[in-house]
Amino acid sequence: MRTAEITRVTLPNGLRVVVEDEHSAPVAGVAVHYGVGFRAETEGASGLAHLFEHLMFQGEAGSEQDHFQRVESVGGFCNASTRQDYTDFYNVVPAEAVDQVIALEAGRMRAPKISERAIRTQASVVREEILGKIRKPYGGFPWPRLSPVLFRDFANAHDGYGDYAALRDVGPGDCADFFDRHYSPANAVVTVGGDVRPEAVLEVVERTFGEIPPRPAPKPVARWEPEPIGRSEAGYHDPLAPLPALAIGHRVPDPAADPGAHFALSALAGVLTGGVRPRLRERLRRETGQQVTLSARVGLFDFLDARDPDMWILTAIHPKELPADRVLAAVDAELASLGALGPADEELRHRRTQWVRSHHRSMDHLAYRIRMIGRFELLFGTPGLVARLPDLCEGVTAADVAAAARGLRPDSRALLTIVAGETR
Amino acid sequence: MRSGIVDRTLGNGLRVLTLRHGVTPLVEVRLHLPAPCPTPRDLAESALLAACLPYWQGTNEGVELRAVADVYRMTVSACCSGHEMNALLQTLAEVVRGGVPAEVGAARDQLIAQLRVARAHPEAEVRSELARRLFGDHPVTFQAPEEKELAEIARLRPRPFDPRGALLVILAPDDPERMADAADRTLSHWQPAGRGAQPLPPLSEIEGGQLALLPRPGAPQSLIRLRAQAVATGDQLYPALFLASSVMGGYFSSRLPRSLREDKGYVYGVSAFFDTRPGSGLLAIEADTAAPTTDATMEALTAELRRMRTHPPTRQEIHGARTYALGSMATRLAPRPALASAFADLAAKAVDPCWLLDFPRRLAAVTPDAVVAAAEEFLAPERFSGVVAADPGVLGECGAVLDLTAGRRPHSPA
Repeated sequence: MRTAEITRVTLPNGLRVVVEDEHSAPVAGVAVHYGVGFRAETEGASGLAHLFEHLMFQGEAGSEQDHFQRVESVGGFCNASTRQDYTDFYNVVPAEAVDQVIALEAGRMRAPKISERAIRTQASVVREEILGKIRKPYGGFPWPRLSPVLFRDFANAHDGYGDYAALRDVGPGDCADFFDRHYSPANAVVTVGGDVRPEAVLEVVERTFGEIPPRPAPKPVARWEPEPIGRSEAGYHDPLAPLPALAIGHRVPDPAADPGAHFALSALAGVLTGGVRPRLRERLRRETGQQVTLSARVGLFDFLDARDPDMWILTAIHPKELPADRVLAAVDAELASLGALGPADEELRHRRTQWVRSHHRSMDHLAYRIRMIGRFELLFGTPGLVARLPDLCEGVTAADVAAAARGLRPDSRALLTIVAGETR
Repeated sequence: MRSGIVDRTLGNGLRVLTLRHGVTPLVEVRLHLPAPCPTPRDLAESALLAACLPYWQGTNEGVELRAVADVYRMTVSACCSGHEMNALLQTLAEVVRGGVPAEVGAARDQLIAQLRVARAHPEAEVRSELARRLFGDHPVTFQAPEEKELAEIARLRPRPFDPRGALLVILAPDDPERMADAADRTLSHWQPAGRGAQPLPPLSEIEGGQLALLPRPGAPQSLIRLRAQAVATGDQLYPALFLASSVMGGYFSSRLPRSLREDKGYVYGVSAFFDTRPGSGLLAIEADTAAPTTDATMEALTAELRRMRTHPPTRQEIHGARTYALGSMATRLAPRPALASAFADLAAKAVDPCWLLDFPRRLAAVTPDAVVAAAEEFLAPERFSGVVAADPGVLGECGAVLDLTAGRRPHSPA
């Protein structure tokens, strides 16, 4: 199968470097993960991590062109995302341009070009981005709407997408401070993958990133908080939604301590809502004759994508005739049944097959691959976990899924409900 | 990228394209099937059949099957491990020869639920208004199947597909000859039934200068959707016009994103791209902006269109657009699912899929003068028509902003 191998190095300034060569296409990828996400934001600065992500695209101070222009001028593409515990920047380019892109990333890690004007423009761009994502049916559902229902602590609960009112007051001083505290080499991981020679890559990385003076990495902050007692509920009205909906959120075990539990929770999500005859949809159809559109996953954004605490989420868009409590009753009936008996062997085998297939399919995208390697290094110190995921998935047993189902207790749950349609 | 490709047309007319590509242990398959839908009922049947495909194999979930349908075609996407490939081809053989599922109820209810959500999206309304204004009563204006049509279908009638015009694409880390032979064994018995379906009538060229307001009182964000007549993908002018439109709005470094996003902060995304259908190519410009910046965004858009002629693409801009396009051919098409879909998408637009492999050469051959001439001919503001979905209260005096041509009256829907 894959012949790819991983090389790991830590530079004297604390920067972690991971290289994986894989030569099936003449393409290379460079990802930089910084150990700062929206959970690092303080009250009154909701969205600063996301805004700063945008500002990094101004590129290196002193450069006439911004990062987009530089990467596109070598025929590549680039993007970024801001999650709970990291912000990642990634580039995919024709293989011969990999050195140039490594140098560009090093340049903006050393000294990004941040101006008052860029801050105002990008705050406005962020506002447009959020308008587009939120002003649609089920926009903001389940994220960021579900977080404050499950969590109490500001870091976990607040809207990390961005609060325009808060961003209006951000100035160059705030940005310089944010950069200084969070964007140091010791708080970052560089991942290079694809059609590259690891020795050559390391040489370029040392010559570019290696020249950045060390700064202390911020001290790790635990974001743990007690699990909810009872059912924590919230609801809102979505005028664009044609049908009511609900989301439930459950706390999950610390992924660093117990990644296996996340595989079981993922298989549980699959058994309930995935494949061609998902249990929950079949049950609701059998018992009520109604059609419900379901999805479930472990991880607010993605699988093994954040440190503790993270959540298991199930969403259901259901007809008005079917009350939310009826949907919930079916969820709990299925959880009880799976908790007692576990899934059938064939059912579990299908879900594992589907998971592994979907994993291989996404790993065929170099951008996904280097982003997963990088985030595993940053969050858990285990970049090689990527290659072991299919085996770990195959190792999930019916008893593991049963235990996962028993862990999703109705008396420790967040429930978010949407009232649909125009108000009269 | 390509260590082997087989391009074979079977005796029944089915074209089979197989490539050795990638290293993950999976087979990626696309099957393009011409399926013209002259009536809303035809589209509903196509869409329902597509929705039934994931259930085709009952309990065998070793193969992932999906399908989408529009008024021109159905495209099946499938993925499985290597040892499931023959089972997958058998399933495809059943589908193309007119097989129908015994029971459609569950798939239909799901499809209806999904369509209700999709229809509620502001984008759906503006798309359907745009199609109506551009294409009148052509079937292409059936954007999605109607719920009442779907509800009336109790059973699907067997409707064999025509192998002539169909395309099967298989990509895997495997010998392409062997894959083509497997396809040949399984699908060569598929014979066309009768005369075959009549293709849809050609689309007529669209007129410029018809810009309409779609009123959305209270909408916090306005959607701008513009189209101009261009050329079809296979046309010899296409590569030059592709570069001209890239310079205008094809990527982040191009003029529209530079001006509207990076300079003014009016938009998160703005782009110029080709909107193509069989035999037809339109140039599209699309942007979303907050209600208060609608006027300013339209003005800036119009100014950039004018500038494409007053300040034609420079050699440096053309070089940049070409480098980006050539690089994208390598980066974007490296993932196996992306390359498989790219071939099928071309077939869906009635373009030879192997055009893709030749496009880099054509792009490289375009002269700067040809790009400037294409901009001059095709990118004039008055060539564009479209729809702006916005709160009428936020537009400038008398909706003057809707007038790209200065002097012509804006049209408003009845």
